[in-house]
Amino acid sequence: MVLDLVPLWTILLAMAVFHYVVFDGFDLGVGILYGFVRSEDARATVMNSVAPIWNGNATWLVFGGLGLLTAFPLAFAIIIPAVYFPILIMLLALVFRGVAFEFRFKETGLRRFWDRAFFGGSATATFAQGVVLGTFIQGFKVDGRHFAGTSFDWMTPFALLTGIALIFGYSLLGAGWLILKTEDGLQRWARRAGRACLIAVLVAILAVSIWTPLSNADIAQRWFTWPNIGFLAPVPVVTALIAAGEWYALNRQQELTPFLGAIGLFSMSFIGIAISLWPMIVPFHYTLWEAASSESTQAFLLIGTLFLLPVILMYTAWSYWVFRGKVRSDIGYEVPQE
Amino acid sequence: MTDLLAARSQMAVSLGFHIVFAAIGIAMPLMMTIAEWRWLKTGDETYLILAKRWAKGTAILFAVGAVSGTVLSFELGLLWPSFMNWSGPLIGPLFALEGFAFFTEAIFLGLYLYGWKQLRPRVHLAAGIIVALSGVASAIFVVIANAWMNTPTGFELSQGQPIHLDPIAAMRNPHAAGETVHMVLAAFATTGFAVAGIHAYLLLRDRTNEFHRRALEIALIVGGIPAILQPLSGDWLTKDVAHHQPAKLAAIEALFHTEHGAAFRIGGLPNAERQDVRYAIEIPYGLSLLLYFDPHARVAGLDTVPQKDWPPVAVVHLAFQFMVVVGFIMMGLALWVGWQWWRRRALERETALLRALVLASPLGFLAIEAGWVVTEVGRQPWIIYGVMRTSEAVTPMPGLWVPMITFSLLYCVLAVVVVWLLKRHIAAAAAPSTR
Repeated sequence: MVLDLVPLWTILLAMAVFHYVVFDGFDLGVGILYGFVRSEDARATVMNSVAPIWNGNATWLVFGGLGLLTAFPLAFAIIIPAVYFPILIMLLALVFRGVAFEFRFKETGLRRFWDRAFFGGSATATFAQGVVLGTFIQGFKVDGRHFAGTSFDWMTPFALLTGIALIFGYSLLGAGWLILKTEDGLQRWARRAGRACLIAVLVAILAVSIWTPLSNADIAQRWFTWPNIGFLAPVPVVTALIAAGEWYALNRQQELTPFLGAIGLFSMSFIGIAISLWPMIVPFHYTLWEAASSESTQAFLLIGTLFLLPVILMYTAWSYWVFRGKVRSDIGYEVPQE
Repeated sequence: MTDLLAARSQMAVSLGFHIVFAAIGIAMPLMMTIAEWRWLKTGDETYLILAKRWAKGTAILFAVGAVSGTVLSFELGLLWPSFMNWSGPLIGPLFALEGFAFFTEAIFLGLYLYGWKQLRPRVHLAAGIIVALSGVASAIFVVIANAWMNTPTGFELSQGQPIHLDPIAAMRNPHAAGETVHMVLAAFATTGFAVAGIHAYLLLRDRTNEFHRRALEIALIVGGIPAILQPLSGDWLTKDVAHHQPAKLAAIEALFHTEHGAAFRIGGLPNAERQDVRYAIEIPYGLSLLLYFDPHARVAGLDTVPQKDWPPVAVVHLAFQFMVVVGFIMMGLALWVGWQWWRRRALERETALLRALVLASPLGFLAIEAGWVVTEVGRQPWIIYGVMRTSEAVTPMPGLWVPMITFSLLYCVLAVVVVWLLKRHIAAAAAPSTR
């Protein structure tokens, strides 16, 4: 063994998933909140706030899937059959939501349909992702190198809870984004929506934090035995502090802080899950090392990734810079009327 | 319906749907960028309006292409887990590169579509050029992966499992160059002719419309040159196939028996049971000449492979014939346009030519579908030619007809909506006249 690339790939994949969750998370959340916006003008603003950038965000999903497939093929082969239906449902929902961006602007007759498609697609895709997350945390039935459960193993109370939790989580991110990108009445509305979502998110985080150790003795032992409890205590403490700060920011004048606070809560949940499951990639059967692809493949991919990833991040950042500032309902690329 | 057939049908529907939008996504950005460049160069507002209208059309079509492409990237893993598991280390890097190209395309298309006011004109044009280049790049990466399925390289077999993996060698597989050139040319020719047909139709109704004349010119340049080159690239690719996939070539030509001095068949109905072809026009020695420049060269027939390894002959043969006919029609039209241009004739007065362009408008898409059938059905029963059978690759999941029906319906609905939206978009475009 020349060099163990697994930790590096783990970090890369974790970063890709986290990037996806935050970025597509906020535009999916904006899509969910969209369903609760009544005025036509405000709807246009809400959609315009993510229209130029959503497609780049969504691509991280493909990137995460590909990363899992090529760096940890065994995990891909076991996990995908287990969450087959949630993923199919997510894809269907993403289709409706994705085309709604372009179809809604053009179409007046069916506008109500595409409005619903945008909201429904965003909410359904989010729910399905939450279900996948819940199924993942609970672990898979495995026989040898194959998934041994049924196609409906994901239908558990816990996975349904994480599905609903993610809807509120993404909505909180979306509310943070809208606070940043809008003004006046719409911004005040986003603050109210954000407060409601924050309460739901905190309830969900608490529920998952209690449920997970109760259902798995290993996880309970990891968190609650000495000296781990000393090292890990900061996780819940910092989460609580961020939650308090988020509540404060949603009630005051800050425009960027609510979005950052929501990202902070997602980071802490992410860290919490990582601590519970480490070093499993197929909970609770295969570790990252056992599921990894050959060294040559990982090395080859790594060289490409380390070149390409900074480039992608650079022009992602640039596109956010170009579309910085408050969004208005009448921007876009309207053709001059002749 | 067996699960294997359901999985294959779902894949066929998904790819057949996606390939149309992928082809448009490859070529449309070049056209809108040319229009914008002409505007910057000449200051003529007509070109700016054209660029914006084409951009808007691109946005509709790109959205559909993006979502159907995302679905496909998951379908590969969902429906063909053994295939992805086996080939992932070899062609995974290609998909990663494709992902990178798609990232670029998505982000810069967002900048292009929504950044007319935010970006300086030259930067905006540069964004368009990047969209055009990354569209071509993603096509190249995906088609190389498909070429690898036809001519797999970059590994050695050890008890059915690949060892000594070499992703670079997998990229340099024998079909890679021929297939990518053929697909990219097809995308440009098809999209160019489709758009040219629309503007030719509108020009027939309003002959002095400068907007449509300029649109027609750009579309014909983008579509015409590839259409003239395409038969050459097809010839190259067919020779590759003859060399590396004799069973596919035999199916393409419906050649059941190995022959010295094989005839070239035009048309005809192959029958795999009787092992004959009826109603075909045969050009003696044609096939041997075309493939090997030697009238007496030996061409391997289907009898060189066991019958269980035959692809469905009739489908492959007819799809190939159809594709070739369309290819020559498009080449002929392109040459006709070139001839009129060389004689300095005004295109808008050539009624017959404009009408022919209108009729030819959808042909390229049909040829792309036919060509895709040739390469995919012609590879059967293999998913990785000579290495893994399609039946070995399919997921053990039961009830595959459910997602198959769902996605087929979804794509039907999307297709109807897209056609309807484009019709409205084009109807609105019929209005501007800058006489």
